[in-house]
Amino acid sequence: MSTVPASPAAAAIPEAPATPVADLVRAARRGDATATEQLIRRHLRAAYAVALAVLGRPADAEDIAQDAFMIAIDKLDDCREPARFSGWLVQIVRNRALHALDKRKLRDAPTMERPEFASGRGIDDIEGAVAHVPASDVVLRGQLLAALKTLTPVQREVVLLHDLDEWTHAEIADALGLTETNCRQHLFTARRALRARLEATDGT
Amino acid sequence: MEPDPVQRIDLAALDPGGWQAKSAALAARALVQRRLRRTIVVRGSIALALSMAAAVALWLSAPRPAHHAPASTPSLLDWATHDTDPTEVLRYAQ
Repeated sequence: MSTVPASPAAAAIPEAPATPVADLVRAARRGDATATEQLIRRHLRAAYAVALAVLGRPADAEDIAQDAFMIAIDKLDDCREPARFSGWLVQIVRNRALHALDKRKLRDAPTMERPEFASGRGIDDIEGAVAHVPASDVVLRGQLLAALKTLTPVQREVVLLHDLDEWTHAEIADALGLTETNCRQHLFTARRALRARLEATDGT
Repeated sequence: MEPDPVQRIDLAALDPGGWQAKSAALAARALVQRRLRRTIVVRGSIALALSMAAAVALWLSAPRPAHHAPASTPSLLDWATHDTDPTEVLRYAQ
């Protein structure tokens, strides 16, 4: 995410961290494979974080993040401000995730509040994780998901982007359309609530 | 990263990992899709332009219907068969 101004001679895309996002977007528009891959590499986890904030299920969030990125790359010419690609992508991911959430609510209508999720264990996540993740991690993952569910959507996005993908407050504020102060406040509140919830879960 | 008053939460358990490989695969898929779409748009535009040109050429080369000019001077027959002023017929008959 953080960018350092590239040399003017950098027509082809060199190293990932040195190239500003705007240059990557322009190169990707021309069909540059390296630029496209760098753009995706820099933003895929953030896209996953935003999708997870909406959906609350890691497996679904991964699908939506990839789906949204396919759309974003396909419609790259519609990104009017390449320097603000992150914010544009976040919008696409959020819209896709909300759409998926609506579809899931319709599908799961009779059992809206699934007991396994409320108790801190998303059954899909556990099933998906058992094959390659230790049991303690599966439990922790369930507890984290349940704790995240107690936050507001914007708090979830802020805390996931900051603590999962290590975005700065300036980057989060820019992408989510917040002020930096507001972003710090959301992060503070979210962390406090998460910590309280996790401590309460440990205590029981 | 800036220091924050409340210590960060370790969310690593929510991170599925493997982002490098996923990014590479996704980039390949996205590029194929983008190229395919561009090809369709370019070829579609060419096909549309060609068909429009062919339509214009056909329209221009089509035989024109014969244009029947109205009689310049009203005759007695016009008075008998159409709503022609008889004074006009008489004026041209002289």
